[in-house]
Amino acid sequence: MNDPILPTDIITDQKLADAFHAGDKSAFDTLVSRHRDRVFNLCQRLLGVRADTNDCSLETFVRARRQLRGFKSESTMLVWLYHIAVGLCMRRMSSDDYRKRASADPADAPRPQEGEAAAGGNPVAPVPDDGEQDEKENIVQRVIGSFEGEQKVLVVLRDLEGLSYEEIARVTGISLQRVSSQLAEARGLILDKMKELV
Amino acid sequence: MKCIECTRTLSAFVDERLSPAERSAMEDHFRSCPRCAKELAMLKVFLREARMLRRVEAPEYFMRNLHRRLDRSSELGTAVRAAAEWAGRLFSLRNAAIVLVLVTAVIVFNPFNQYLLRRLEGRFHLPKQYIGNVCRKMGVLPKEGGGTQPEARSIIPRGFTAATAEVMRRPASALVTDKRVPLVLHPSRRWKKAAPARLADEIGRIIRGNGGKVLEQPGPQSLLVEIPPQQFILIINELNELGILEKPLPRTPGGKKSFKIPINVQ
Repeated sequence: MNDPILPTDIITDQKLADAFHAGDKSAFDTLVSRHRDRVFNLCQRLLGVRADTNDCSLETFVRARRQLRGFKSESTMLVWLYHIAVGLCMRRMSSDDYRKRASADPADAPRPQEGEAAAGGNPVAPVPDDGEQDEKENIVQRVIGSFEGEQKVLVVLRDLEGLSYEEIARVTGISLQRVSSQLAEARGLILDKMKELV
Repeated sequence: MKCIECTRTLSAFVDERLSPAERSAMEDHFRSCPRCAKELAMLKVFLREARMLRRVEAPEYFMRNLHRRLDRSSELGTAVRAAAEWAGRLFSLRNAAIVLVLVTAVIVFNPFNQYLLRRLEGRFHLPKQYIGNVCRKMGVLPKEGGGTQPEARSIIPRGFTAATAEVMRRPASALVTDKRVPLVLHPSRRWKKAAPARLADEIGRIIRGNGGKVLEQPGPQSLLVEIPPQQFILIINELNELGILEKPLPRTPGGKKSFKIPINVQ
């Protein structure tokens, strides 16, 4: 008698990766469903431009599928996906075309309603109903939007995604010491910016 | 603890990456310093709000778009793999070795190459006494005073550069221009730096004074000129005296044996 099929949330990412290698193409779809929102969210936080977010998050999964054999169970699938996504976003952030788009459509610009974003309009999250909450979110968005490059990646990974220093080092490929020093510097800038805005 | 130390370790404090002793020192400081305590509170507010920031979800069409992109990339991958397999079959190691031998043989023994090499020999790093020889070989001087110098042949590989390759593409008839040798002169750094504005004028004056003419100025650091072959050494010597050329011509026959003047035959 066959083993009962496990619910998908109990099957580990590693098992899904193994199943994909064994020829089960739907295993990859399960992996995508599991992680797409986190990856999409990360790309959106880093890039802030809807078209680039779409492109980079899709490309992340295309590469992940191609390199799935390189995935090792000692790091979590999400960290591995973040590693790919951050590499793509960093490259995108350094391109002139992106800069033009981003300056025309800054992350801290007023955001459209939820329906508009889903239909492919530009940024970001749905506008909250609560005015005070809206203002707080707006401040956070503007503070994060003021960062660039590596520091922005570190702030997003640590303060928004809640990754540990070790995970950040694995995602970005930079040393723990640098993660620590860059975050300390970024926090100083956050305080300065908060003092301006609040 | 001083405020400056507190500011430096504030980030590690909120991330709980301090030792118990350091943490305790920080807490003591916060109790006694309202300014640092305010900064800590402000940072904590930011971090709390940042963690609570609503997540952006992937759109519904994400999976459809991903499948479309995967299909495209797998089609491309299949084409590349097929091409690689085809190339692999065609170019096995043995076949590749045979092709390599054949190509080398064609390059080495091609009579056309031999002809061109003979035409071009001695174009670079020529000893002073072979300048006339170069002109003779290019047909701009009458063929008198003996044939090719053996030393000129021996230095061909050193001068076989991109510039030479450019000349190789020209028909042999183009190597002769009304018994005049067009040159591209590369001025010395000192001149480029000290008198860039006067450079072209000065060279032009010397060239014209010796019966030549300036054809054009392809760039700020080079000048295409045309000079009578018999005046060649004279002009070079005059340019040397001003220190215009990058590598001066040796003044005594027994001195330095070679110098470099790129000759650009148009």
